[in-house]
Amino acid sequence: MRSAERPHVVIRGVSKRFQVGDGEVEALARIDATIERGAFVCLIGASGCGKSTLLRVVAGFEEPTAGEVLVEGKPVTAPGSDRGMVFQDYALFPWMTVRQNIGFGPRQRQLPRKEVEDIADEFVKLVGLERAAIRASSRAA
Amino acid sequence: MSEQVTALPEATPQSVPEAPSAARRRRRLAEKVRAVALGVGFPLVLILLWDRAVAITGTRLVPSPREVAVMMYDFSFGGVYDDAFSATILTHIWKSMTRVYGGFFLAALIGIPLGLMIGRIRLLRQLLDPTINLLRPIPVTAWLPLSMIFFGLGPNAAIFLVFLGAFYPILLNTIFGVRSVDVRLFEAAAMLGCSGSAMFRQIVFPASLPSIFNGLRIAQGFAWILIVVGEMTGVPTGLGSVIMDGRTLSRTDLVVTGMIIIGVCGFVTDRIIVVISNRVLQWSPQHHA
Repeated sequence: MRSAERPHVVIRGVSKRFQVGDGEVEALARIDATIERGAFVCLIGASGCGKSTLLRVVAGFEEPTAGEVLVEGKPVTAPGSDRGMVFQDYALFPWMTVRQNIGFGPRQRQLPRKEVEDIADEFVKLVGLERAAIRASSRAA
Repeated sequence: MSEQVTALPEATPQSVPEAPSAARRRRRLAEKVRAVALGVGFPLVLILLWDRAVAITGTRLVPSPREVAVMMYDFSFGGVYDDAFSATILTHIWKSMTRVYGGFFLAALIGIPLGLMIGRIRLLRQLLDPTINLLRPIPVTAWLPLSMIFFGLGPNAAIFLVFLGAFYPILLNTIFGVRSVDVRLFEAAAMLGCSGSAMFRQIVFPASLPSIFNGLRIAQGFAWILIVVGEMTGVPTGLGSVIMDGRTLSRTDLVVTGMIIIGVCGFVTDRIIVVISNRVLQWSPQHHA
């Protein structure tokens, strides 16, 4: 079967319970979902209902108490560059310049230096940060 | 020595974005002069008090500042007493430096990587944390007999003692540094495909640097403190052994001379670390305040 024909992300019976003090909080209770490749899916719910927890399980930051998440048919065990998550607050590396921050992801994929620099330049230009590109990201704001 | 006082990390030029006007430059100069005057003035007052106290009490057990100055001159250039200590200052400073920096760098070399791993890896923390906190309160002086059995009489025992004293501040501050980094940074890096040793090199280490530098500063202080104990291990040269000799010979001027030189060495080392840390940590908000 070609990968385009099976769901890209499968969430199967995912539960997540957190230990809080002596008690336990159930953040997710047996969630099932399938997401097709290229689909744009919104997760809507009240504050504290578990949206972020589910997202963090898919991203690989949290291990589900029960159930599993499959991406391309492979179970998620750790974070990886095949899944991206945008944090609610920015997560910049303050010791890197703006360009180094942008180039960090491409550099992890072992791309040639020239290519990493081109990608960084492209995105610096896209958002009009040329003047701040070589400044430390902690001071670019 | 007075020039070094000006290097106190007060206002950094980066904190003022506009071009400095003449008035501002003058104000900054006045501020610098004031800082030097206060920083140098206070020890001068202390020396004056010391001089008066010796003169008034008429004690012969404590040397006057003048006697110490003469001893310092003889220790540096010779020509006054012309004994075994005359003009030997550089040998002693050099020998002590090799032991202090030897122990200090060894402590950093082991303490920083170990701290990064303990901070990041729970299993390692559970395994090592109790032992570390059990060993940590043991005074370094208590290790003296064992260190002489392990390493024999000589410089290696001294290096080991300095290492022990410098190791825990570096280790604990590194662990603390890792633990106080925003977890989001590790998550963001992991998400972008960073893992294993690359994670330690590119994220954990730089993120913990502010705290690591704190540890290094504290540790270098301990390293100089411990040189006296370290050189009780039967080494013939070094500032610590000079102080021990001065004690045996009842030559307090020599003792105080050794104390002052150790103080200056520690001060200079600290300044060097601060300069490096200010350069490396330009990105850190609490370091360009």
